[in-house]
Amino acid sequence: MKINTEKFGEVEVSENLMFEFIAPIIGYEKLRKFALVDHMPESPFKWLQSLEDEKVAFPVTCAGFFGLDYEFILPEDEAKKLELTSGENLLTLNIVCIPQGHPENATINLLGPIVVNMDNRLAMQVVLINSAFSAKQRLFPESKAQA
Amino acid sequence: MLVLTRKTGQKLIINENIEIVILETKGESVKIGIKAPKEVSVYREEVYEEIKKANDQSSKNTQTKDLDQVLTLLGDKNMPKVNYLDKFKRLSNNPENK
Repeated sequence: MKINTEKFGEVEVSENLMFEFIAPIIGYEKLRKFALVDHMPESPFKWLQSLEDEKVAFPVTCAGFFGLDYEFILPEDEAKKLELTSGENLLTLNIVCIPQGHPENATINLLGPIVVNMDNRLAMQVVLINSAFSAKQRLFPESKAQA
Repeated sequence: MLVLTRKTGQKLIINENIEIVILETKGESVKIGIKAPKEVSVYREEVYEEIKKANDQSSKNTQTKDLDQVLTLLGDKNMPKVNYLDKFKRLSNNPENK
């Protein structure tokens, strides 16, 4: 399916990568349909593009890529909402934030990951309320930023 | 704002399908139970605000060229492990990457 995006113009998106958010991306309550769009073929980043507002797209990655110690237990209630039957169908994405012009200060949101049941493509942003994870974990240590 | 007084064990019903019960009060703390349909999200305000801010900054500030720069900063040696990437690459819209 072809979709319109502000960042990439018209792009082709596979229906397998279109997600329906049963609990919203916080602050974007009205947008419930998103698709995963490639950044570059070999890139560890992709874009989570709104299908309802072409201006809204979040860069996402997986925390595991960056050697971050990142494991959490998805609360049973949330797993039920996603109708998740097996952990194998679960895709976890973390939203990345890069202050404009300062890639060295890039952060990753570990506190509020996006979880997707790839079986039925139901998705949600889950808040890991009892974890010690940060919503703005640095990707690069502070010292590298100063160098 | 609507202000109501409730005793421990008493409930509030919102919109016919959301139930809020006061479970316990202890000093300045109030323990609240919430029963709501799955499409209703409930968060502590401070956590909600923190994540909302992170989401907003991500969507509004991140430029594709800055994301490219992050890749440069990562360099070859810090690039993600191949096994992770393979799984991620399969989530591609380009059939050649599958």
